[in-house]
Amino acid sequence: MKAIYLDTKILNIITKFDVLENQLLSEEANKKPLVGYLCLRTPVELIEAMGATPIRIVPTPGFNVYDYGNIRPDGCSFCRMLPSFLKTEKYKNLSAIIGGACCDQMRRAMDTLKRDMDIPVFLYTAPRTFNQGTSFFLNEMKSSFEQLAESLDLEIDKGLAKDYIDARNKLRERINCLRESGSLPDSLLHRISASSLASGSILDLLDKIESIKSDVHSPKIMLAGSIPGTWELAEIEKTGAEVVADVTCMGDRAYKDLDRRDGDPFENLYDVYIENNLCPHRRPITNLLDYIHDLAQSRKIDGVIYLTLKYCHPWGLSAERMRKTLSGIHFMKLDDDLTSPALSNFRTRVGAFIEMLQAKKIEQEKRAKIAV
Amino acid sequence: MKPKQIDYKEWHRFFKSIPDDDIENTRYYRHLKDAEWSQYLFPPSTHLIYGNRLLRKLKFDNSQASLRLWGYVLSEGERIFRARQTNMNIAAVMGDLGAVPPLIYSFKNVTAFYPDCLWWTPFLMESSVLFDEAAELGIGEESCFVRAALGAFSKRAYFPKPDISIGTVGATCDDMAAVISETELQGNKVHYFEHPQRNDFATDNRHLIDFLRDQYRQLCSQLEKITGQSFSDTQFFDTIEKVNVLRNIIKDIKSILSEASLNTMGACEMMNIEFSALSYYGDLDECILVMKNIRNEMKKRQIDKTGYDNQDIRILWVTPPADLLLLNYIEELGGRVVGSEYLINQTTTAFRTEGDPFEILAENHLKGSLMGSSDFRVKLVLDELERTKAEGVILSGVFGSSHCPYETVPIINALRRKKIPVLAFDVVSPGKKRLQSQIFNRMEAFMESLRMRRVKYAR
Repeated sequence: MKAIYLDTKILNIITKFDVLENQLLSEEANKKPLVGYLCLRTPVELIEAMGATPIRIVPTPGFNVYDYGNIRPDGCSFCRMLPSFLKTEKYKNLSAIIGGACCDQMRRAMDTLKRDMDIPVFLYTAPRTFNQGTSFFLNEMKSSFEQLAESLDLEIDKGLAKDYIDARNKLRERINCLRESGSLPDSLLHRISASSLASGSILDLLDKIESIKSDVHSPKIMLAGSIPGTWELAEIEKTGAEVVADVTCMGDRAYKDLDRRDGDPFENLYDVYIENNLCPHRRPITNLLDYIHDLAQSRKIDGVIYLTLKYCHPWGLSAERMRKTLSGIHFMKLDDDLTSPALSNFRTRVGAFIEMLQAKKIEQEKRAKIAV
Repeated sequence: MKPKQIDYKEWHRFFKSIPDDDIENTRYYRHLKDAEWSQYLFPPSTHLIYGNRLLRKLKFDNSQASLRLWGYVLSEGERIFRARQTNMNIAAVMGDLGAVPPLIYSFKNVTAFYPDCLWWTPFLMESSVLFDEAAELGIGEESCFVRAALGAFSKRAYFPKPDISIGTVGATCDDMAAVISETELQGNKVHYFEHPQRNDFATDNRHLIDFLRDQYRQLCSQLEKITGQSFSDTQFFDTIEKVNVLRNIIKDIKSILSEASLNTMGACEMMNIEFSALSYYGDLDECILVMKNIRNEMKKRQIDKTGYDNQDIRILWVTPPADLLLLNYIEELGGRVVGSEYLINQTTTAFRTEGDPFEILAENHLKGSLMGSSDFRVKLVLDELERTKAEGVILSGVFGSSHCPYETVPIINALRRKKIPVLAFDVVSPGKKRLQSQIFNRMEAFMESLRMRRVKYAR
């Protein structure tokens, strides 16, 4: 029953979110240009500071699964479906797209968009290693944003950028606090990650959900892997499990660092979004493995659901290594494809996994009582 | 002797006619005195005994130059072990790093090899041992065949542990990046080389060159530490000169191949020749001699107007096939592979011979096939088409690589716009006989259609 209650409450908040966001997008479409962006290596503050509205490109309900034209089926299904996502209602008014290079397929998907779309697409190179070539990569990022602004007849206001950095820092702090206390359900976190709402509006909404408390009896899950589609998380939460740690690009990892206000905003944003980024394409991968290990420990997780998209190399080919890193924790790896979601199979596998964790939890509680 | 393709049994018999002196004097690491083990002129049957079972099925060119080439290529693994035995430093180079081996060879007593090139070993050995080992470590069929390199690192029987592994990260295949990372976690020392995205529309590559120059400087410091030597401009330019000689020979060979009236060399041999520019199969000096020998043989054939019979349909091959049988098969069907785009454009152009060494390397690095847009790769294919006047194109894709899903359609579309027939398929793993036979069927149909097209245009 608890699970259903939680589910309904989250659903209400997400619905409110949707209403607010749709309103914003329809209003702003007439006033501000909408800039689509990809992944965690794009400082949204810079888009805001040029007077545009950032909108993250994520799997969107209603996309046409057959519309992948120029990309072969052994491409990662997120990259393959990008052109199709962009044809949905949500992205129809985009004025431009920007993204920092992350995995090779994303780079190539952006290259495909550049060739096939009528709007400007900017891709800037970004480091795969740590602390190397900072001035080069910073300059690449900076010049791409400047070109983006120019293409939209806008200018980046550095003062405004600092204000947006402040606002996003507050949001990050709040989210981290709520996540640590178990008061922010993961599906809502994902919704926030994909939101175009200003940080202030999101903070207002977050004030209304403090009453949601973690259930000590429900299994605590870590979600890891590629960007999830539109339904996987809801299916996990429906089982009664709580996703208390989320290292996908829509989860906790997106909020882990705070930005500095003082100094050059470009440099500060570069540190947070580019240098400190912990996506699985960064090398050495041990930095990500350590982060995941520590998060699993601090959030006291019972099991890991490692969800990969078919042919997503950075996550898919690291799965065994992750399993070794998290040895001692129950680990389930599932492979899926956005173009042919295996909903029933997913539900059965996740259901069985969570039941197993619940049974173990009950057993542990019984043993603890007997010991007392 | 009339040029033709022969099988390994014929080579075994024919080998008896090769003068003993030639066998005695065909050696690698000639700088080492009294190295009794350094001979490599053996018939393919010798290498078959070492486990390369595919050699039973292949057809080889019947010249002594080709025999030497095969012996040289197939002895690479042994050569790297011998290098270790003689206290040479060993550097593994992984990814799209055409300009790194010249830097490595600028140091004395160092050799380089590409673990990625073990991707054809499961095919040569007709065994999935290396793939199975990689799968045990988490890298299975979702990755391209370069995962064999991980299996080889793990097995520790295919090459000695390198003193340093240099791996690309950035605008390069993610499956290879995953392989490199896993080898690192197994205790292999990796120096990551940042491979930035090349914006092919940009007219000014200055900032990319500056960045790569710094990358080469850093790598050079690492090599200095490992070898205990200081970088020397003189040695560098000596090496560059040799590498340029090798690259020019390969260029000549490719020209002879496409310009001669008959097919002067087999496609398998040609792939070995082109790939020699990667790391020279572990011995730059010997590699140059091997390639000169091949060029002379081909030049002679061109002048004499001799070549293989019944191979007249001009084919351009795009993306190297790990399975050599495919190249043989197209020849059996009457095809003549006159040109190729094997993803190693970074190894094709000559280096500048004056200026800042690291800048020279950086400039050359930027010629890579895969670090830019798909349009760049399309252009490489079209340029090769123009050069070779091929009648049809075969694109042998690599399932699970991160470039094929994005490049295949643009390449096909560009060729079709030029009204050039194209056959695209993915090379299948060893042992998948049904899938393999489907590819053979498609190749047969493709060749038939090219013949019919020829008749139609003749009318």
